[in-house]
Amino acid sequence: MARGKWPHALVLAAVAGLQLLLVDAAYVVTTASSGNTFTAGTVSIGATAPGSKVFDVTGAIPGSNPITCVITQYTGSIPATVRMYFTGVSGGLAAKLIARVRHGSGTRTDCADFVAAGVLYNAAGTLKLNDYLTAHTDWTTGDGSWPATQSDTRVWQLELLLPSDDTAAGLSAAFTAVWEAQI
Amino acid sequence: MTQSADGRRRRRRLTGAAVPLSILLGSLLVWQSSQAAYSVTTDSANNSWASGSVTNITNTMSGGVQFTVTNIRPDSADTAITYPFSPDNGYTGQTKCVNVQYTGSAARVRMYVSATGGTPGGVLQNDLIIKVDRGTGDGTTDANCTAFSYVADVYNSAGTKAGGVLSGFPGNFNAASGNEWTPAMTTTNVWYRISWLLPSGTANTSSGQNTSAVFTWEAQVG
Repeated sequence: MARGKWPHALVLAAVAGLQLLLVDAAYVVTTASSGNTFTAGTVSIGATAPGSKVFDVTGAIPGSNPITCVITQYTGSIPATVRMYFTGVSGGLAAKLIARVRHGSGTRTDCADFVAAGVLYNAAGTLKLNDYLTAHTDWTTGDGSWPATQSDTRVWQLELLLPSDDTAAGLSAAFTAVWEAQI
Repeated sequence: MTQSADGRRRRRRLTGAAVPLSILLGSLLVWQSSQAAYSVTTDSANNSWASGSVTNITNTMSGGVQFTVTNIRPDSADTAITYPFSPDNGYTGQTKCVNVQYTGSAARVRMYVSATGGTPGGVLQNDLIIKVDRGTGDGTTDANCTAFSYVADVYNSAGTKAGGVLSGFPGNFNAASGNEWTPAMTTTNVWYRISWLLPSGTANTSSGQNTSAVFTWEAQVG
């Protein structure tokens, strides 16, 4: 008789458990709010230069005057500020070269249709390239702060002049120009 | 031998009669005792069971207070949501107040995010700080929280990225036990103040990403 009671007790407990679950699940009501969407903007910029190089000059002689226009286009969706700076500066020739930097508009990297809007460096035409490169080495020290919105373009013209200077013979120079956009 | 066999048969017959007899006696006793006493009873009034009800719950966010923002970007300075909250602009952070109205029996109401989606594998929901608290307000249309008065935290009391981002919001009723509101029986409403911030210093990895969220308020009785 004592053994026979257990199965009944177990059955009752199981039924009670089921009833508890059913009660718990029955009294629920919810309200929801859909339509919350967050989309992050983008910051991006592209640059066009002949052969992807600002300058590629060999065998320069005194009086050589290479000129290049780099066309930058801002393609991000958020208004940003673009600056130009330089990394990887090497070689002794930069201390000999006279440089001038301007910004403006145009469509050609050979500057045939360049229209200047402002001078960034060396309006007088006597300053050296090396001083410019070493003064602008990162975003903080970058030059030509350009407030850009989507699809804006700006042309950056870089002119060099190798003056008559025998000590420049056999020297070389290299640098990487960087345009960085930040919000 | 024969007498002895007859005697056993007689005993068996007597034994067979004993059981019905005892049942009969027992019945008589019961009948007699019932007859013997005057009786009086008292009983309770009718016992009735009325089930609780969770009649309705509504929120004003589904009526147009929701966040729908594009081109969001990191704030220039803020790394946490603290009140008064003044992000750069509506692209770096926002605050909105949502009125939640409950009708029914005394219940437990909890808030959770029932779904998040967006860019597959996107990280924006891991960068987006969300802070929610609960309080009193004025009327039912004060989406700008001008009359909001704080009562309790719901999510991310610190307002920091470590304190809570969108992906960390409780995802169901059970997980949201920490933010329970217990309206008493009748019609009651409460305000939820919801803020988001894309903090200063957010990495480029969230650029161009998107995410979405469904905020749900669920009431349970029992």
